[in-house]
Amino acid sequence: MLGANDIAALWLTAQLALVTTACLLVIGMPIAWWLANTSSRWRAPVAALVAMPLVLPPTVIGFYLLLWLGPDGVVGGLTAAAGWGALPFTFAGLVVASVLYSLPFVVQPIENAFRSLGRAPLETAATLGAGPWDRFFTVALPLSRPGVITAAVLGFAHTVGEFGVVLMIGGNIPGVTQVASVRVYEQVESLDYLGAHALSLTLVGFSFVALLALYLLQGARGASLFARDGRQP
Amino acid sequence: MIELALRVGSPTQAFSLEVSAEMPGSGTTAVFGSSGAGKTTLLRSIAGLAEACSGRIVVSGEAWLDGQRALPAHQRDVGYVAQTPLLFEHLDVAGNLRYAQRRAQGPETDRFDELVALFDLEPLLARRIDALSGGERQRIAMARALLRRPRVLLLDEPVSAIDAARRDEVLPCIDALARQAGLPILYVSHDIDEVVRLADQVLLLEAGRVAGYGAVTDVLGTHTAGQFADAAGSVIDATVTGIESPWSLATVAFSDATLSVPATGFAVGDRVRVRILARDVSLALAVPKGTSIQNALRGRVVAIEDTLEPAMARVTLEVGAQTVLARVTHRAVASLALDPGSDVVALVKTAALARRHGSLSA
Repeated sequence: MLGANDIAALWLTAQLALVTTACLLVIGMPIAWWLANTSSRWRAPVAALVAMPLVLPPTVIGFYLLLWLGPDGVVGGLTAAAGWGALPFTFAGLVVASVLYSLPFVVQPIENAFRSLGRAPLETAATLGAGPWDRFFTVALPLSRPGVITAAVLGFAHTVGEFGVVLMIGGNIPGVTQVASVRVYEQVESLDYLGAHALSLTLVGFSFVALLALYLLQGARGASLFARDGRQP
Repeated sequence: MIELALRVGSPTQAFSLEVSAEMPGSGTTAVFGSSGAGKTTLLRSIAGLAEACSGRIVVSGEAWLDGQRALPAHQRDVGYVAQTPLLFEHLDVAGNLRYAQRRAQGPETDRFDELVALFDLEPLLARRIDALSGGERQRIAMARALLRRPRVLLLDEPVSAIDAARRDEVLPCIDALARQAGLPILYVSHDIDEVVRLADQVLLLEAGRVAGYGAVTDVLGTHTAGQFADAAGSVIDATVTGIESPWSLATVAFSDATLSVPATGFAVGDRVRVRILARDVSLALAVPKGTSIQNALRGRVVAIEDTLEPAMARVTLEVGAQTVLARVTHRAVASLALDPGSDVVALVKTAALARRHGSLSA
């Protein structure tokens, strides 16, 4: 059965995933828009940088984040100067790490959705008098909704599923930085298999339901998860 | 008034467009030419959608493009209806119409109901976009463009997806609307019948250059080379003076001459345009007897010119104040001994009638 620490870990995980997803949508949307529309020579390097978390070992990301965000790091110095203190081993630190780590899972579906829009809807909106921001919010975003929903679900689920980065940057402080995946690791280490089962099965159930919902949603539109033409007529 | 002096692309490129023309502040100007001539690019340039467009576009006194600035598309008051118009799929039909209405500039007059009625959209208002036919989409796109309260209406083959019956309903609507609102229309078409029927002026485009521009009755008679050869003929403004219902014929009169033309649905007094293709006109020295050709117009030869086909000559005749073209062989010209000044009879095999709407004569 789930104990108090398990509940706390699950609750923390849910909070982290929610905050991270919200940050990812805000940060990922402009990046995706730029990547989908630019013809700049910086496009490829930026796209590669965004995709890096897909291939890097989470420990590498965690390691560098620890250095940068720590009291002696570049970012750490800034946050300290701003009076926020150092980010490692705090909830804010987990959010920063999770945002970086899940960025490609949010940027890529949205970028594909923006790309598959084509020029016609935005041109049509322009001839009807809609300015650039107006066009984005009243045409591009609503038409890209399936891509945005995919991105949000993937970002959320991937944050729930991360382990290495959060362990490196957050450590294992119950109630503060101990998320569900880290909690399972601790239970297995201490041979508490029953506890590990309870929490693990909860995560298995959650992941299946989240992905099932996503595929049902996408399936209704006849598109696959990462399809370039995510928006079908 | 619309003042155009624009260039898209550079002459060194595979395709470039150069158009200079001044169009009146009302009435319909047809942009006519084969595909690839630059018709759509011209409309997109005016709407502010074409890239690498330079020059000058002034619409009713407002510079949309000049040396100093290029107004972005959303600041140009155009009603643009693309050939396959895009409707927003996340909105229903009414939502699409309101989208334009909410962003319209200018005096606040609610024309929503009026335009819905005009384009017969009432039954469609709550429909989803993906459940619409091509014709329905074009009607909605046109109503939407007009709800924007444009200063110029740009229509790119707006009836190409509408069946013939509906076309006869929609075309007069466009025409009436434009005249009533004093709205200039640029109407892209590759259908000469549409041009004759709707346009006051015609701009002929060929490979990105203006091949001719002026009143329909002038331009279509004089520009008969290349891609316009099939359309070579004369366009004459005339009045219906009689109906022979047993024969389904209408008699039309112009410059003391009369023609009997197959036509139904016309009434005495209707103003019409008669189009006589050069290839439907034969020549004779006297009115022949015992021929199936019923229409004989007495005229005088004005000019005899070569055409691109070695065997064929184009003979320009004066019939009263009107010009009629005939496409006949050089041998026929020789055997009839035709010269400029010869009196001749033009035998017109057939002619097409198109009703003119609104204030043509004004």
